[in-house]
Amino acid sequence: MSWSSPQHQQPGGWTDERQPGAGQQYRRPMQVAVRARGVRKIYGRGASEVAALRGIDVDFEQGAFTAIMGPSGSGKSTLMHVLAGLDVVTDGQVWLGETELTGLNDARLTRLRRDRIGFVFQAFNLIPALSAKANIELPLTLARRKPDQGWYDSIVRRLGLTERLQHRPAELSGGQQQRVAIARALLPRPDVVFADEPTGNLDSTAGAEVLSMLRSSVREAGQTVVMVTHDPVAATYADRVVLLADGAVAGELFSPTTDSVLDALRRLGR
Amino acid sequence: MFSLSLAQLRSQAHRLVATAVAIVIAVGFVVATLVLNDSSRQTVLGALASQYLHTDVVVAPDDTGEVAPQTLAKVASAITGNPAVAALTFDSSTYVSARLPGRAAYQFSQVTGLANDEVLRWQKLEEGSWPSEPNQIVTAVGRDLEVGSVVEIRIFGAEPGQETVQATVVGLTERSSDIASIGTPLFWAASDQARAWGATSGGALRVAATAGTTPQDLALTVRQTIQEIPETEGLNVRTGEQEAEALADALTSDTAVLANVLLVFAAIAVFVCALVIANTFSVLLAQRVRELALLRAVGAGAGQLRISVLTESLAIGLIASLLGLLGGLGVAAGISALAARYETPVPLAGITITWPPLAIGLAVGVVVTVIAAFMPVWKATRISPMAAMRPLDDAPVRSGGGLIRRLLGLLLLIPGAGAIWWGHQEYALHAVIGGGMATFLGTLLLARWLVPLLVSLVGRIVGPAGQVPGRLAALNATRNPRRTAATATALIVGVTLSTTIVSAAATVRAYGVSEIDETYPTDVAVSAGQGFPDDMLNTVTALPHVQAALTVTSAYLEIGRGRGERDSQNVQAINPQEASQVMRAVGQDMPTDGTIVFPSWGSDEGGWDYADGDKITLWAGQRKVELTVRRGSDNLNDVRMSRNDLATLKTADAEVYEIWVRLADDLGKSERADAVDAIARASADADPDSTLGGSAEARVSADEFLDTMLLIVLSLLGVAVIIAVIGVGNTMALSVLERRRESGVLRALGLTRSQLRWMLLWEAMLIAAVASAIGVALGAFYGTGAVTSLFRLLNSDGSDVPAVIPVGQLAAILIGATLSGALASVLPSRRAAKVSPVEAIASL
Ligand SMILES: Nc1ncnc2c1ncn2[C@@H]1O[C@H](COP(=O)(O)OP(=O)(O)O)[C@@H](O)[C@H]1O
Ligand SMILES: [Mg+2]
Repeated sequence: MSWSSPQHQQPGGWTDERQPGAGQQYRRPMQVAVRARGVRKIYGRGASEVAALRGIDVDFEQGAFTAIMGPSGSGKSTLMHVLAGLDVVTDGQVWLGETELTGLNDARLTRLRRDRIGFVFQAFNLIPALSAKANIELPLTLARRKPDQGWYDSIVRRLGLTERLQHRPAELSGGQQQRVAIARALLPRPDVVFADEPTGNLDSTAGAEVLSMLRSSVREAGQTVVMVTHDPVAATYADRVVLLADGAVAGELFSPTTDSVLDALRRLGR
Repeated sequence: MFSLSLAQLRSQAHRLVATAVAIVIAVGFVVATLVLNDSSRQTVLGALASQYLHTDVVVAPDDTGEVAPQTLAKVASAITGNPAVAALTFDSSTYVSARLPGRAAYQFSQVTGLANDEVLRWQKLEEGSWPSEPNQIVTAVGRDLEVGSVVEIRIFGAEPGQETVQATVVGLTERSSDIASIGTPLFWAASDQARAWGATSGGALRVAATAGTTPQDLALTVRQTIQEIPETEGLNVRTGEQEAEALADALTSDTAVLANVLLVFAAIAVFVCALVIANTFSVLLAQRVRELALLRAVGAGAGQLRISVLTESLAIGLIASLLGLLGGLGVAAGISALAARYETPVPLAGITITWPPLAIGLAVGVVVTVIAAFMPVWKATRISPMAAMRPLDDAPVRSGGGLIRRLLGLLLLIPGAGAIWWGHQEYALHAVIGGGMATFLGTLLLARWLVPLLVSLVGRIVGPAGQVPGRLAALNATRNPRRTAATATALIVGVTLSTTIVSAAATVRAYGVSEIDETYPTDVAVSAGQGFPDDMLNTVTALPHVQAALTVTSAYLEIGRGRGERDSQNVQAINPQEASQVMRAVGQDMPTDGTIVFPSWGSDEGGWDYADGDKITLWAGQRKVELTVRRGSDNLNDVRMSRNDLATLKTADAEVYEIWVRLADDLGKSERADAVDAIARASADADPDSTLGGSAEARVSADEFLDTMLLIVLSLLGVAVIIAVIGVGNTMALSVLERRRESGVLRALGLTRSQLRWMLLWEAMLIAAVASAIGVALGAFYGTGAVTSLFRLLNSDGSDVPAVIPVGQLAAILIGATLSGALASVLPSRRAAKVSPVEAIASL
């Protein structure tokens, strides 16, 4: 399976603002959206103990698109879960902006996820009973907030969902479902959008579309996106790649290309 | 494949617990009913068999009963002296009035002669001795009598001066000896004594065989002898054993009716259980679609899969039914132990376990489980192997074949409703019942379309109260219409039946109370013998618990039309104003000022030929009064007029005839007995020959009977409702498992734990509320409809009984069922809320 490279991909649907150049970097005064310090995560006890994360120190810059990569079982998903407040760490600290997540109780974590974090999962994970529109608005509905109409319209237009809003998830293609999931993640203007293998269940065309849209949300709207992937082509859409191996950070790449990512991965797997 | 079934069963055991509980309850119900029925019959048969232990042959009139008493005597003398006959005796008995020590009232009782011959005297003496002197009797233990107690016996048709006898109890027999006398007290006396009190030997002739003669041989001999005697066609010759069985059949036919009624309830429980099972399996299999498809892909045939899954249902059905058997036996034993301590209408001592009830219970459990599982299994195993390859989609289930279902439902519903209406108009109860069943089936068929519709409607109306979780719940409840409808259907059945009974009972009750009041208008009536003193009314009114009283005076007057012939007529006079205070219902038999009421039968049977509205004149000496005739009811036996009209005649020979008493309402049993006793004593003091009548007891027991029946029926239907509620919990538990990942997503997106719990509770409540609302509406309609149609038919004049809808009770059922639905989903929703979002998302 091969991804068409981002250089040949026209970002479809976004109508306003500049066309970003390939590999072009947005440089702002460095502000950290998510910060992890000494994060350890141990599953199980005694003989069956598995150390999924063994002391992670990493920062994710605001307004940047970061990919987390590494071999299967290296702890990518686990890291994302603890960064997103879905799971608690065994040791160490995690901050979202100024807020320390470690130590918050379930109710406060839930509220924090609702108000400040967006998710895009591999398996789309839309609520089958709700229409696309209701799915997109769900986090705001849960927070009892009204969506900003202009922002809503522009997201829907850019994601090409205008015609699909009244459909149920089962009536949408995989790519369309994932675009609904992205719209759902973007609408509340969260501090960070976490995406775990967002293209894992998609064919290459649909996958490329989804990645372009994530990238343009970063470039054009300043959204912070952290994406877990094992696909080198997907990683080239990001500004920076953080490499994991055996539950520890094993390096990073800026302005990744397919070749540089493959190279880095090969070196990890040695 | 078999090992796969077992592995599945083991891994899904916890999901099947609720199903198993439903089966256990239903099978237990069936088994307990059948075992109790058997036990009751065995109890009776055992007691009767002991009565015929030494009786080898019984000669008795057959059902037509047309045999002259002398004929039996002729038979007796013909077989006496036959070498096969060792002894014989007549069963002779009579009815008397008996007053037990310390009681004011007489009771209708039976006196039966004891066999002179020891061999044929089957009663088992437990205490004391057999009667040896005149005026001695024996009775069974448990009647509040002891050896030495004195019973006052009044003999019907005795010579004047010899009507009353003081009989002494000299012995007590075992309780089982009077098993045949449920209700009326039974006394035994020596056969001569019994004859002296009026016993005739019309009953039966018992014969004992000599040693070496079998009962069959003796019966043959007796039959041959009888053939030579004329007019013996109506006599049956049976062995003692045959006779005992015939009697037991007659005695337990009531019990058998009861058992049939119970079995109807058991059938309802089984039906509801089947719905729960079918539902469980369709949910379980829906969760396993991928796995089944995978098995198909790797080469399992659809038939193999079917057998594998059906094996699972067979195993669960078998295990649960075995538990149900044990439970049912336990319940039967418990009820029997309880019944042995009280005097119950169904005789019970110990339990009799035979194979048929156990086999039936087991078969019902297993067969119902397998059949109920069959449809879901059939559907699930028709899956194509391709399904395993497709990504798991969360497509909402659209019900297929809905059109046929809906058409069929409407085809049953509309003509059914028509039949009810027509039957109600045309006094055709069968049409009403048939229509009721058709509409019920129609509603159940329409449930899949109707329930989701109503759920989303109700969800929209009450949605705002439930916030976001509430709105999500309404959506979830409608997303698998088939499952929602099946869950609801089980509850609809239970609630409809309960409501039908409750509203039927309310209507019957409202009607019954007025009917009971009309049938038993007077609590206590004291009739004068020699005559009451003038202040008798004051004496009675002053007694405790007496609320009001009136006197009925009687006088002989001359009556006639105008100038024509005059007849002398005894007339009773009642003050209409007093009557309305003393009597519980002042019916058509009560005179008003200016009218005179005649019994309805008068004109046919040669008494009076006065018709409604005739004017007649009454004379007392020179004074006269003109009154309008009214014909009373069938129950009226006297001619009645108003006391005010009698007063204008100023007749001298009017005397107090009866005193009618109304007791205070809401008296306890002992208070009521005390009050009646006090009245009896006061009137005996004033007039030793006075007699006591009235219907305080009958009225209250009629009332209590209605309440007891209602309670029993409702608790029986309660079993069905409990099973249905378990079904709601089960469906919730399963759909929570099914939606594990979805719950995780919602949690990740910011739904708090309590919101998630609330969402699931809300969903269960919506389904339960809609199901119970449908059930309550149907039940109220059926209950009142059935009763009013029935009474229209029964009331000779075709008058209507007003339908009473017990709003309070119906609301209680609605709220109760809704809350039970919520309660049943507490555990599943707690479990769902405990799952962490990561786990849920990871469990692809
Ligand atoms: N719930 C869990 N219980 C035990 N071990 C786990 C659990 N989740 C993940 N692991 C282990 O932690 C390690 C990292 O897993 P994960 O973060 O899913 O890796 P990746 O997403 O990079 O493939 C693996 O060894 C995995 O087996
Ligand atoms: Mg992973």
